[in-house]
Amino acid sequence: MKKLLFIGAVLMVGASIYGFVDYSKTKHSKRFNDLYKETETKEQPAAQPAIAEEDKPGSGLKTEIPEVKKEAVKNSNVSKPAIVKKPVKQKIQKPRKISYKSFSRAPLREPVIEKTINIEPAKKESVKTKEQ
Amino acid sequence: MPNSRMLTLQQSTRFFFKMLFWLPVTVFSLLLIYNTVPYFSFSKDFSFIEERGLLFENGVYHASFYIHIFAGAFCILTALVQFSRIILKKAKPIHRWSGRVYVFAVLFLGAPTGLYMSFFAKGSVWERSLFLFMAGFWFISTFYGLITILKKNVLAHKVWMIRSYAMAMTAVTFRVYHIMFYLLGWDHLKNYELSLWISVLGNMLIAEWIIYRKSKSYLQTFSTL
Repeated sequence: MKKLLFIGAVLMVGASIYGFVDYSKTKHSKRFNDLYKETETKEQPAAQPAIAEEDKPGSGLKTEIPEVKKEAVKNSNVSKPAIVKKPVKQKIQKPRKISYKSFSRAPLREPVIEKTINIEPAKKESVKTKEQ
Repeated sequence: MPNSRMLTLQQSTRFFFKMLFWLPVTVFSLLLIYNTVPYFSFSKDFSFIEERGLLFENGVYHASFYIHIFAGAFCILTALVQFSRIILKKAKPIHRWSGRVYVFAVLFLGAPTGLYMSFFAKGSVWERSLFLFMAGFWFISTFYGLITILKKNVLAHKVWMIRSYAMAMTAVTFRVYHIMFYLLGWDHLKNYELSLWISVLGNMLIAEWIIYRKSKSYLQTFSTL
């Protein structure tokens, strides 16, 4: 029994020496220093509410402008490519949910889903008339 | 002298609190083992492995990781039956054999590989030092747990094994805190570091509190004699 315990102790000492030597070799490499930093930068956009470029404050107008153009196009009777019906892609941040798979040491990431929304001008008009 | 009704009430309360402790411990331990099994497909499609891609290029680290999770799963599984009084009284060989598996898994597999991997752990120098301490203390407490039972010192064996199990259970409690803080909206690194510290220090405090309570009741038996 004493021999077994001695082997265990030797393994611990060996692991600490080898670990220290291995660590001192790798600690100078840039890849190792950036190993966990990368994950930090990767997670930053996930932590903030993700907004697609098309949905940014300024770009919100972009979706409506073509509709006006569409009316103008109708009046002038000139056919143009269907820019108007371009669906809006929206990245929606799902509420934080957990499953049994979350029970690990791995980083927990917030699920972000891309949703395409078709904005129909007719509906908007009908709402406006109701309000009036 | 307490009457039989009071004794029944005390016993049922004690049983209720035991279940309150052991039920989540068992469920979370089994869940941890269940989540460990897919790693043995040796696939790299796990975010834990993807995150440490560079480290997994090193053969020693790669081997250490698989040995560590294999030993850890065995430790947690065998430790579940170790604290059962029924098994200890009615089926002592089960206690002995699962104890042997636990001690072997800790002393020869879990603790040395954990010690090696702690040098490359996530977080600052403090978190790495904490991992080093965990591996060392896990080894020492298990070592003393074995030595004391070989010397037939049951009380000291219990004390050291409670400490050893507290260290093994940091794997489980870490995950619980990690999920809790995630739901609170904390960012990953902050969450990771705090979960680690709370799980280690919290488990140690709980272990010492259990030891204190047990020793208190043990000392009370002398005063009633």
